[in-house]
Amino acid sequence: MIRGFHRTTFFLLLALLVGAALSVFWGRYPRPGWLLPDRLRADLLAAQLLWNLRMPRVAAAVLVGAALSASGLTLQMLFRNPLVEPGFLGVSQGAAFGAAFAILYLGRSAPTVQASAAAFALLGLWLTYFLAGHLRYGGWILRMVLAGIAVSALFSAGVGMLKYLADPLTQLPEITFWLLGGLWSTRWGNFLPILPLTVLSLTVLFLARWRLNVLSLEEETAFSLGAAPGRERLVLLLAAVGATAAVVSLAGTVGWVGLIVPHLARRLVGADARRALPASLLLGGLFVLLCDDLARTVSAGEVPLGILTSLSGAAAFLFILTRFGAK
Amino acid sequence: MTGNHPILSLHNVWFSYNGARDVLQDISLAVYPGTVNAVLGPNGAGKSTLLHLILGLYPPRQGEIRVGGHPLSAHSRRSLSRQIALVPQREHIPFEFRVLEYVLLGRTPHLDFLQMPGPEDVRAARQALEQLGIADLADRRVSALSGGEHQLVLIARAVAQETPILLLDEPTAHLDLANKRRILTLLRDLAAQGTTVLFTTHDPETALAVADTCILMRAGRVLYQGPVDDVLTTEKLTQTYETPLRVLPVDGTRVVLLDLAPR
Repeated sequence: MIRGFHRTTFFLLLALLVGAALSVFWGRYPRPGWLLPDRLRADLLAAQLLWNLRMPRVAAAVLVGAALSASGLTLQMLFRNPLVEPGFLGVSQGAAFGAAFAILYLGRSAPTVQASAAAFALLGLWLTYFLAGHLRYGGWILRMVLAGIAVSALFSAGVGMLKYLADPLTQLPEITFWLLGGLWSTRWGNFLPILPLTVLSLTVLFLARWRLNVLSLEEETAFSLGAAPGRERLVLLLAAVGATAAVVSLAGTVGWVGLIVPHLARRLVGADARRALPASLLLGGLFVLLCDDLARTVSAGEVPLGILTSLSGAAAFLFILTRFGAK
Repeated sequence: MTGNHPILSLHNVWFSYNGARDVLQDISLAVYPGTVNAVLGPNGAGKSTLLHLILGLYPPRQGEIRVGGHPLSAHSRRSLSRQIALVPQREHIPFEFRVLEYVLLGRTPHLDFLQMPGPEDVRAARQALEQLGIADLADRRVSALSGGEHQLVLIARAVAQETPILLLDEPTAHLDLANKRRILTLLRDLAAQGTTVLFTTHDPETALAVADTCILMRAGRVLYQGPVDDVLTTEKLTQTYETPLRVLPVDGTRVVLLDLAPR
């Protein structure tokens, strides 16, 4: 069991590193395919492209995948429900509303859209948490889920309203493209600002993965093992949502990653978060990296990343469920 | 039961969930080291709530609970989790942990906050499995276990916690006779090795089979407590369950019969 952990995690890490290194040389410049080292030496534009566009984009794809997957696994275990995903606490819809709001009223500059999306994502979480505390129905998990559904619906209605009000020629396409998710606008300049929060959150989740096992047990059992479920859950919840809000602010809504990757990771290395969390991080990074490689090369225009992750994620999900059952 | 001090005691404990009706009323009881104690009563008597209070999950509205001679509030969460282990009435495990991984969770009170279990802990977990005679289940998935195996694994997790006090909430409620016998024998063995066992049950036979002392509860109150021989009588059980029944001597022990009208 322990040896299996080292081997699988090692292979995932290796695959991710090799994949990231190769992805930097893969693209549509100067023509679809590989950018070879000879060309790189001769062509100054190619070197600049590599450094200024592809590298931050590849790094962002890995970070987005790792963050969404680790958050997904964390929330699934905290809520004792394998069908939960990072967006469901009002976070994704909050971010979408924040982005649309910024596009309409705050000047459309990338940093503003990003900051507004992150702020509204966290507001979504806070609203959900606040409402759950005031619902007079069900246990902790049910109340959070119900509050999350309500908050998501509120923000979603808000997004609909903003789309209706948006200028159909300039603002609406921008909102739509943001909602579909993608990394086409990633530069070092908007990637680096989200790095500290994301890395900090993921470090917390990684270090606390044994606590995650404990918190996935029945409330009274977790308590009898010395946990302070309320407080510990809040910390892990903040870390998971912090990471999600940060990457969503950069990439928009990239669907299905946080749901499907934890399932795949558990299937590879088992349910124990000591292995499943690192596996989710690596596998998630790899999954979004590959999807984004396709997104930017499959056609002359950009295919929104969210479409590809949803398509391949949902297909993989159906395949696994029909072949093997949930895990 | 000798001249020891009680390892666990409640002194005039009152409790209500939201300031409404008192679920527990004026409960006083003493539990001595190395004994098996049954909390017996009909459904809804407050038995599970009593366990939750002893665990510290809720504070009493009034009164005091002492563990190892110290009030509950004087223990930290961690130190208390090294004193008392709980086997809940049911434990739904939504992820497919292996049995050994689940039992290993019982080692958490012995780890620092972010520490991972080490080889020592794996050894303790395996030992708990062996003690319960289920070492062969170690690599099975928890979701693939039968009802009896599942219950044994829950107990193994609590045994791996290596606490002096073991609380069990209805440990035999859904088990067939063979598994019931296995678990009751196990409780008796644990007590013989020095663990103090306190379990709830609504079934007098279970209490009769293994308990040294018995606490009869009804509607949030303790009606009687003492050695099983004194407490489990026709009169006292009839009063506790408010239903006609008879306690009959058979082969040096006793059985409880429902007093049905003749056919």
